[in-house]
Amino acid sequence: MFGYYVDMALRSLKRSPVLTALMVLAIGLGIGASMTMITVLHVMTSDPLPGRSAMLFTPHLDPLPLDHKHRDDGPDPTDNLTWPDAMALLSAHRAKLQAAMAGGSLLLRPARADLRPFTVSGRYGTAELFALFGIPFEHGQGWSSGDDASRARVIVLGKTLDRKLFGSASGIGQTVRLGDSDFRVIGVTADWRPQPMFYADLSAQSFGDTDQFFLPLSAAVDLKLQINGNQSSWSKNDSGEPMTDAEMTWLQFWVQLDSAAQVQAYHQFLMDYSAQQKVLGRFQRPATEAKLYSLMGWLEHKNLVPTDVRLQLWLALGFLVVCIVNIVALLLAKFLRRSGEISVRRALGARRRDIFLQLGIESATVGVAGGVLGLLIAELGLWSVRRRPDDYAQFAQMDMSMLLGTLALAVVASVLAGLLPAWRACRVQPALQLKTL
Amino acid sequence: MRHIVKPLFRHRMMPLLVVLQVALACAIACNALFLLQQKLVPIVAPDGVGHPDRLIVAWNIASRGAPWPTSRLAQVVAELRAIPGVTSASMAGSWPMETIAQMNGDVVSDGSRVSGDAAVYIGSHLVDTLGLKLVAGRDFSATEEAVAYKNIGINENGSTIITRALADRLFPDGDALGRVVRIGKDADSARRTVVGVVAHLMRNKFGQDDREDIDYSMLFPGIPSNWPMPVFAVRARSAAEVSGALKTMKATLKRELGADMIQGIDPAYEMYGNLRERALAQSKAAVWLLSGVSLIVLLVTVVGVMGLTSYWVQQRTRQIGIRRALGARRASILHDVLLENLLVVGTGMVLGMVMAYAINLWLMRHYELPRLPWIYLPYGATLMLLLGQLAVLGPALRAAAVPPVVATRSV
Repeated sequence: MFGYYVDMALRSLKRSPVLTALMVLAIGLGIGASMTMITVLHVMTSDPLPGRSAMLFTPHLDPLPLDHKHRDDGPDPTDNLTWPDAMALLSAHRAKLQAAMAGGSLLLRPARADLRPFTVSGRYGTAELFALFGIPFEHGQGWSSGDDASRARVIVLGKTLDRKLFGSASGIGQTVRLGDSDFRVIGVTADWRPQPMFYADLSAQSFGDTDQFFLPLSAAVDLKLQINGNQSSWSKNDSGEPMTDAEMTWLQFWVQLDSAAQVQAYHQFLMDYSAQQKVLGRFQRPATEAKLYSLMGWLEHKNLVPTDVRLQLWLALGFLVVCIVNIVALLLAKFLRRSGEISVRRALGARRRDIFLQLGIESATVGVAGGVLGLLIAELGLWSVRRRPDDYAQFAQMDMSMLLGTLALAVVASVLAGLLPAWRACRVQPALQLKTL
Repeated sequence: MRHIVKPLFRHRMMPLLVVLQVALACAIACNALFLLQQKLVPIVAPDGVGHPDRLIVAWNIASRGAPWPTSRLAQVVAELRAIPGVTSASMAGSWPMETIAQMNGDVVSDGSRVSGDAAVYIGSHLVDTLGLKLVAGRDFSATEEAVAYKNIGINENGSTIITRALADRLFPDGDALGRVVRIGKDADSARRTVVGVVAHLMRNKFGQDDREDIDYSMLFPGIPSNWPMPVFAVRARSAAEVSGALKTMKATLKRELGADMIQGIDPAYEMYGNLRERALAQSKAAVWLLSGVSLIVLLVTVVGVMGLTSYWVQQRTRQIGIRRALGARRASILHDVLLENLLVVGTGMVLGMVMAYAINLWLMRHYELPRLPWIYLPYGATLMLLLGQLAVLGPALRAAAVPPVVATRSV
C-alpha cells in the first residue's frame, strides 16, 4: 500500500509541476536558511573537547577592592587570576591535575636563512597542562614541574611550526630563538585545535589560530615575555613587576575534577582560600564570590555567540514558519481541488484514514524533495557565512548530525504542514461531491 | 458589502489562512527591514572624506621601545609632504575606518551642559589630508598645528574642529563657533574652543549602540606625543599620481622609521577607499542577507495568497455564473473579488502590525534593539495591501471572465 501511495503522490505532484516546484522551493528556502543559522550556532556552542570537557573546571576568584568600578564595555577583571593566586592554587594541588596558563605572541627568528622572522602565537603554561587537556605528542614530551621551578628555557612545538622550521625531521634537541632568548625543543605535539579556544582569554580571541608552541610560564615571567589577552590592573602604584603583581589579573587556570564530590570539595577549597585571603586583608569581597565553572558552563557564561548571529537565527526560524504556513495554504488548495477524486475513492470503500495516509505521504514527498533542496541551500548559505569577515565564520561546516537533522526537520515540517489540509480533505462529504461530478 | 463578508464567515478556513500568512509576513518583514535599515546607516552615511581613491593610509607601525618623539614624527610628515604629487600629509593617532586604535570620549558643551559621545582624531593637517569640507569657521592655524602636547593630547586645552552633527547636538541654539567643549564630565577636564565646523566625518567605531552619533567626531590639531601606534596618510593631487606617491611613501617610512620598528610587524599601506570597503564588509553582508530574506518572505506570501484565492474563485465559478446571468457586470465581479481580498489582507495586516510590535518588544528586551518607529506601519500597510491586490489580480480577472452560461450548465 505504501508503494502505491508514493506512486499516487508522484503522479499527483507531476500533474501540477509549477505548484509542486513552488512548494518544494518554499520549504527548501525555509529549511536552508534555518539550517544555515542552526549550524553556525551549533559550531559556536559545540563542545571543544569532547570526552574531556566534563572533567575540566576553571576556578574564579574576586580579588577586586570594594570600591572598584567595572566598566560595562570592558572585559571583566575577575575572568583571570593574579600571579600569587594562581601559584597558591597550583601549589595547593587540590585537584587531580591543574595548570595555569596565558597566551603570547612572539617574534621567531628562524635559523634557516631562507625564512624571514615571523610572529607566532602560543601558550605559556605549567607542567601539567599537557596531561590536563590531553594534548597528544608526536615526538618527545612536555616539561616537568622541576623545569617549571628552574624556569628552564624549553619549548614544545606544534606540528605545523615544527615542519615549517625543521622540515620532515623533528626539531627535538634543536634550539628556537623566540623574542630575544633561545629555547630547546623537547617535544612536538600533534595537531590539537579545540574550537572555541576555551582555555584562552575569551575576551581577546575565541575562534581562530591554535597554539603553535608551549613554553613554561615561569620562563615567560622570568623573561617578561609579551602576553596576549586582557591584563587588568587596579594597582595604585606601579610595582615595576606587573606580571607577578598581586593586583593584576592575566592568568587562566584549569583543573581536572573527576566526580561531583571532588567538584564540591574544590569549590569549598576556593571559598576557604578566599576567606583566608580576606582575613589576611588581601581580598575585600565575600568568600562566596569564588566560583568554579565547568567548561561548558564557562563558555555559556562568556556568551561567545554574537547578537547578530542570534538575531539571524530567529529571522531564519521566522522565515521557516512563513514558508510552512504558505505550504499549508498551497496544499489545502491542492487537496480540496481533488474533492471529486477523493469522494470516488471514499464511495469505493476507502476509509478516512486511507485518504489521510495517502495525502500525508504526498506532503512528506514534498518534504523530502524540499529537504534535499534545503541541504543544497544550506551548503550555499554556509559557504557565504565562511566568507564573512568574522573569526568564527571559517568553522561554519555541516557535520553528519546536522545533515540528518536538516532532512528530518524538512520532513517533520512538511508533514506538519500537510496535517491540516489532509484532515480537511478527508472530511469531504462523498455524496455531496459525487452529485456535482 | 454584506454579500462579501458573509461567505467569509461561512468558509472560515481559507480567509483565516490568508490572514495568518499576511500577518506573519508583515511581522517578519517589518522587523527584518528595521534591522536592515540599521545596518544601512554606516553604509549610506557620508564619511566626509573627499576623493577616497587619492588618500593613502599607512598604519600598523609599531615602535620598538619608547614611542617616537613628536619632533621626529613631524620631520617624517614634512618629508612625506615633499613627495612630488602629494598635496597634503598627516600623522594621526587614529584614523576613520581603522579600528586598531580608537579615541572616544564624552564631550560636554560648556554652556548648555549637553553631552555626547564623540570620536576624537588627533593629528596634523587632518582637514586637508582627509579632504573634509569646512562649512563654518576656519582650518587650524599654523600655530595651532605646531602645539606641543605633554601627552597624547586628549586631556589638554586648545582648539578643535567638530562635525556639524556634533555642533547641532552640543549647541542646539545655533552657532558653535567660538564656544567651548569640555572633554569629559569632570570639572577639571580639558577645554577646547571650536574654531571650525566640517560637514561630515564618520567615527571609526560603529557598533550596535552608536547609530545616532555615527557622525559625532572632533579633530584636534598637532601631533600626539607618547603614542605608540602612529598612522601616516598622504593625499595625492590626482589618481594618476597615487602609485608614484605610494612608492615614495613606503621608501620614506622605511628609511626614516624602519630601523626602530618592531621586527615581524610590517606597516600596512592601503587606499582609504579599500579601508572603507573592508570596514563596511560585515554591514554589507548583513544588508544583503536581510533584504534577501524580506524579499523572499514577501514573494512566498504573494504566491501563497495567489494559490488560495485562485482555488477560492474556482470553487465559486457557478455562483459567479449565476450572478452574471442575473445581470452583474464583469466590473462588479472584479470589484467584489478585489474588495474581498482587501478585507482579508487588511485584517491580516492589522494583526501583523500587532505581531511586529510584539516581536520588536521582545527583541528590545533581549538584544538591546531600539523601538520600531511607527513610520514603518503606514508604509508596511500600503505595501502589504498592494501586494495582496497584485496576488489576487489574476484570479479576479479569471472570475470576471466567467461567462453567464455556466450558470445553466450541470445544475
